[in-house]
Amino acid sequence: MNTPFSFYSPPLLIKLNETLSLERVGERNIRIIFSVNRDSKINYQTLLGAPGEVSLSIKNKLMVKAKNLLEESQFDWLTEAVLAYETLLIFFDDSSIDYYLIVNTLVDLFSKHRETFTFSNIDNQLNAEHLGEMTSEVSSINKQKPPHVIPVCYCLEGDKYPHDRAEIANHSGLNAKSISDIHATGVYQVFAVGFMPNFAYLGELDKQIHIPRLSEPRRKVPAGAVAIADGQTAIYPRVSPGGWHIIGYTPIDLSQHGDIKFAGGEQVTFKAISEADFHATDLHAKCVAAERGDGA
Amino acid sequence: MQSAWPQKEVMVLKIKQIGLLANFVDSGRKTKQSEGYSQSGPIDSVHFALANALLGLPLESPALEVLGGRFSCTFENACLICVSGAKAELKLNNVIVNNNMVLQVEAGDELSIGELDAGLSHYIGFAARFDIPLFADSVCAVAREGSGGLRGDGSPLRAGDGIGYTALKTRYPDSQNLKHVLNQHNADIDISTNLQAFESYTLLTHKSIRMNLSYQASLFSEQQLAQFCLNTYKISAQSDRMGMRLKGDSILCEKKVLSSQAIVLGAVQIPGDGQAIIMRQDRQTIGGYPIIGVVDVLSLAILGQANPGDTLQFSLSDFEHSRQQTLLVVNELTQLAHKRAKTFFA
Repeated sequence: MNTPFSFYSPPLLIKLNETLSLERVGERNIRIIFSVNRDSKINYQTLLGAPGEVSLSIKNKLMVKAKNLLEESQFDWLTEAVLAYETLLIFFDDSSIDYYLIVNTLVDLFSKHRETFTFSNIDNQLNAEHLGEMTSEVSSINKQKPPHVIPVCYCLEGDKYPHDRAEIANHSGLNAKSISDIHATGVYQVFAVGFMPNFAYLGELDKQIHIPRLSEPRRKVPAGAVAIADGQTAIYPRVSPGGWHIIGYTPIDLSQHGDIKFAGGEQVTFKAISEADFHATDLHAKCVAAERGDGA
Repeated sequence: MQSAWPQKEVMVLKIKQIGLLANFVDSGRKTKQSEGYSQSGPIDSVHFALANALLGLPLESPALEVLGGRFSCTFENACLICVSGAKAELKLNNVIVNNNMVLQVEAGDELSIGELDAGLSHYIGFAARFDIPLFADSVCAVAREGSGGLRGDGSPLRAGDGIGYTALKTRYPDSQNLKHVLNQHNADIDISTNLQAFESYTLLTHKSIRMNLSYQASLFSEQQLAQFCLNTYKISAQSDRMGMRLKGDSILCEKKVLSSQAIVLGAVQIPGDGQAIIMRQDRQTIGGYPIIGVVDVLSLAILGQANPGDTLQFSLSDFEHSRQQTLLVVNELTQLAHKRAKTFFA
């Protein structure tokens, strides 16, 4: 139905290049989102995760590049850029520059680096990663750090270590060994950090062990719990309520006192360890904490 | 016997009583949201800045945020303070004083805030430097995260806590002269008509709130958006510094699950049950519910004085207009702070 007066005009999208646009989402916030022109010539065959849809992993990689490019440019108006899945939220300071000049700056910057954000570039990079080599002239915008390796014990039992391995086995029809093997084999991408400090949303899980959230969330998930939900896995850095299925535990400290800080776009792998190794590392972590004065 | 060392100048602000919640706040953490830490900061950013401006301090200086009234504290050392925000009986040593007056407290004095008459949040500004450890360059505490604050573990202030402070020296060594200057300023408080209007507006129990359509607004139909602005919503008792939950006619979004996205201050989330949540200073950094729009900075400050049961209605704005309104207030506060800084400290 046509109305003579539109109550609502859709938020303005400003094109940055072939794959990215920006929109204003606050008085001092802009966000970069994925958007492609319908007429742009894209090699869909290799790039599409699902028919008709660009995969989350590729969108996330684009946002990581955008974040790197922004941070490399060292704009003094850039307060912070927060990456989450397929969007990048920018906090800006308008005390010496206004919104319109910032938009102009971003449009210039991203059109100058348009090649970095084309699908063919990402495709090449993915192929290089797949072959275990990086192209010789990888710019810092395309940098990829070595993955974080997180040790996980998939066999702890007892009241201190509640888990949902039986439910996961029931749901997937796989035995415990296969489940932990599948979980520990994957190379995961940090899609976002949030929910609580240093809680990294890691994806994507092998489809065989996808499982919906618990029907009733746990009131207390212990710190160090490694859990799965749908296509994602994560580690609880500290005690918290939570609705994901617990698959195992890591002995290392991922709270604000620990050494590992996850950042969007990084890679994470898991290494299965024995119960004895878990307790040895756990004890070591507690000694370090005690020395620091955090108590055990 | 006289000590060879200069006398220790750090004295203690002692907390005697706390109503709902009290914490030191400043403009919040600036660069920790990508690690998953909340932004934090004062829920009524205008009254927070006003308390500082009236003392001639930088607008983002640490101040004490007191929610729910029923608060008292004592001072070990002379200091200038100023209280802004909610309406309640305010006393200095059992003598009634008013909001927005600059008060000269002496060693042993007690400041108390009584039961709330209107509003929710008080801000106590101090012409002093406090010994509070910084987390991400901020004094703010977020209990849920266990980060920041006096003890560094996010726990809020408790009765019995003592916070060390060093008072700033005024340009009047003679306290009689200072008293005279303060009396002049307190007799005729020189805040702009715009700020006076803000002051009285925040205390109303029904508020009109400016919202800018943004994020997933296009997932809602024009009719839904119009209805959202025609409805009156009631503020739920389940509101806190993370978010303000609203009760009223549901607005349902067909798309219920999105990839999590970073959430700005003032974002209006529409969860599955269709009851909006306005995201505030201590919000989680990312979330997966559709966002219909963003409440602007001044309106969010107005909501910093809203109590459960109060009502509100949304009106649509655009970011440019919102920003101009905010900057107008910020400029007025900055000018006030400059003027007073010259009078008190220059």
